[in-house]
Amino acid sequence: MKMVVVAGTPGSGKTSVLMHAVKDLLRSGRSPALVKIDCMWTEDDARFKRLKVPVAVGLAKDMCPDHYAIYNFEEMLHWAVAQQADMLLNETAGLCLRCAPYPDKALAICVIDVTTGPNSPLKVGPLLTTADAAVMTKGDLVSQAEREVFRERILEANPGCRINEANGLSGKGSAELAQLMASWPDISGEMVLRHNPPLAICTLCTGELRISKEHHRGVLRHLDGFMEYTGE
Amino acid sequence: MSQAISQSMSEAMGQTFSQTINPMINMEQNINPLTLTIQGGVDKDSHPDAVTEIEIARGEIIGIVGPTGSGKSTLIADIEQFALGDTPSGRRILINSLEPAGELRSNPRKKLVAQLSQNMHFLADMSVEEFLRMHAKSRGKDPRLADKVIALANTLTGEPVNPAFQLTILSGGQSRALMVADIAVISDSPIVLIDEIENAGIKKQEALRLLAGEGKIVVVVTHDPMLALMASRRIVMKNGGMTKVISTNEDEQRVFKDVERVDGWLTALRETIRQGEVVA
Repeated sequence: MKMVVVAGTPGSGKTSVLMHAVKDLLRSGRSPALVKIDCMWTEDDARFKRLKVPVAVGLAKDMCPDHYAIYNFEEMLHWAVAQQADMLLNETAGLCLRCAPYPDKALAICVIDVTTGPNSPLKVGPLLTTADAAVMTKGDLVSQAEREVFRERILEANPGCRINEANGLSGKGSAELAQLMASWPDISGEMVLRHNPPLAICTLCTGELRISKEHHRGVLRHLDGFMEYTGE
Repeated sequence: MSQAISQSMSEAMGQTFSQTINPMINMEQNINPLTLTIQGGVDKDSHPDAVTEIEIARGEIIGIVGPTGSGKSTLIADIEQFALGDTPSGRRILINSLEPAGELRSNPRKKLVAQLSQNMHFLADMSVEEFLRMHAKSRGKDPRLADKVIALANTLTGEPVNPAFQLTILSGGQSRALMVADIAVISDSPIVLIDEIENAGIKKQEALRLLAGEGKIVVVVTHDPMLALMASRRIVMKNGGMTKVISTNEDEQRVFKDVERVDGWLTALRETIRQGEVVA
């Protein structure tokens, strides 16, 4: 079993890029199964189902969607095995950028939209810096010079990363991506995350709605950067 | 990057190229492109291209013509990424009759192709100078070339570009002038692809001359009669396919002389009107 985690900000083109890669995987005789993680609602599963591959949806609802994905990876893998798949493709919800839901042995792909400007690779954080491959989308909307500057910025953030220029509309770059997925080593044994998720235990996590500081307990960080534990 | 990862990457690459039929060119070789070959693929309905192969030599300007949606930009994209039968068109692009491999396809420092696309604006939130310096760096060039690019751009546009300007506030003409100058100075590649320069709001002939440089292979998408007739041959596109190749002839070149005269006259008139004078 191979495992691929596709992360990236909302609207960056994760689903479209993945759709084209799945078509290429099917053509080369692979059997991928797909799990789409989202927060409240998604209809991406309907798009994936048109490709006639096993598709499951996980809605994180009240839980952080990346934490939810990490918590459920094992179950996803069991499900993929039951579908007689040889590859689990997991598309994340793509939200806060601080979590990088990448198990060490999976292929970690960060999809990043070129039109967000050359400073965005520096903002993305562990989602990009710990990825094996970065997929640059929407390159047709900018000049070649801008694509090259963007590429340089990705390499500044993650010097060892493989970069793939893909177009979710035309399918450009998907064959290369599918080949990378198919060539990735199988997962084995126990897996650990590449990067620690953020500390996120505070009264807000348990549903506190009031805003002023006196109502909050937990590991909290002030605007000036001072971090403290408040509570019993 | 771990050993395992780089190993699996090279396996992935090995897999790509073992499927191909053409001999391979790799980045260790010193590439001096003399010919660019387009091997036909399929059109939008999966019918094979009528043009099965076309070879373009150094110093040649070749046109791509056809109605909107006929596949001109797709053909340009195939060339830009050195398609190896792995794009939706299934075309293959060869350099000196060999398939370009690995880094030649992706790494800007090795890139053989400079491209002027239809985009009229920059989206990067940076100053002109900062952007150009970073672009030079990505191409492995001296960042000081930025000044040269700006000076050259200012010969192509009526509204001067200042190094401190934010890219996003540039007009369409300023952006295109900067993109052209950037290609001539920083992305100085042996193969130049141009998509519709006539809509650029800049001096189109001068721009084409700048981009073509000395001994380059130039592929230009155009419907402008003058630019199209500056090409020695033109590929005709229809429904995503390459349907035929027209070589320009003596009759066309006679027409070209007329077009040149008319264009010169129109340019002079345009300048008169721009200067707020009366056309005599």
